[in-house]
Amino acid sequence: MNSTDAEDLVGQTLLAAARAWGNFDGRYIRSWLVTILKNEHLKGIRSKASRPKTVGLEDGKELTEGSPEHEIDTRAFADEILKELDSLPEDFRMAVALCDVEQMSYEDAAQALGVPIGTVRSRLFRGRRLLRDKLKAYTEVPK
Amino acid sequence: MSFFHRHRGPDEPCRHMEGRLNLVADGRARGLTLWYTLAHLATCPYCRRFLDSLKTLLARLHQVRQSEPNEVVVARIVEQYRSAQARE
Repeated sequence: MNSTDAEDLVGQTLLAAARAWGNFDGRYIRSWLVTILKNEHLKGIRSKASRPKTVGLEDGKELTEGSPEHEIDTRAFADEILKELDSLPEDFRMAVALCDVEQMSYEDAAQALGVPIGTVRSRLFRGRRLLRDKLKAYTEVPK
Repeated sequence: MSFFHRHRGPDEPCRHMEGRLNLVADGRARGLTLWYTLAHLATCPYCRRFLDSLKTLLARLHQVRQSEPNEVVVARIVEQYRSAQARE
């Protein structure tokens, strides 16, 4: 997914959330929004599958101006992590993204994904293992 | 006191400890689980190493979240949202 698709997805999620606001029970707002986002994403995948493939004008990363060196390093590293995170199988990626990047509790993530807490935990641990193997150079501690 | 060890390799934790080490890294291990894991760690360099690398990974993942959202992108999303609402 490129940055334009991501922006569209967030916009659609906000719109869908506004439409469904009357049905929201007031609990677990982040989980509720993530669930909507996930559904909108799946809807997008389904409708894309029925359309001919197109190439976006802006498929690269956004340029930042005048960033200090350390920020470039941080961003490069963050990009590397996000790239590897994106390459994980969907179930593991969602668990790691919600629990470790967004720092949601297991309970909130389970609510958002519609699965039991035990399932979140096992997906999370397996996802971390896969990510750790891919990012060994960054997570290795000296022997 | 000796503990059960089941090493899989120099970069791997004991097989039965991986879940417990993840809980410790998340700060969610309690009671006996926490006690057993800490006691095991005291005698197991492989699991200590795994826990350290897991904590490093988690710290890195937390940093990813801390990047500030791009104001231009946020403004564009809000604009998209408003114009879509106006169309409805």
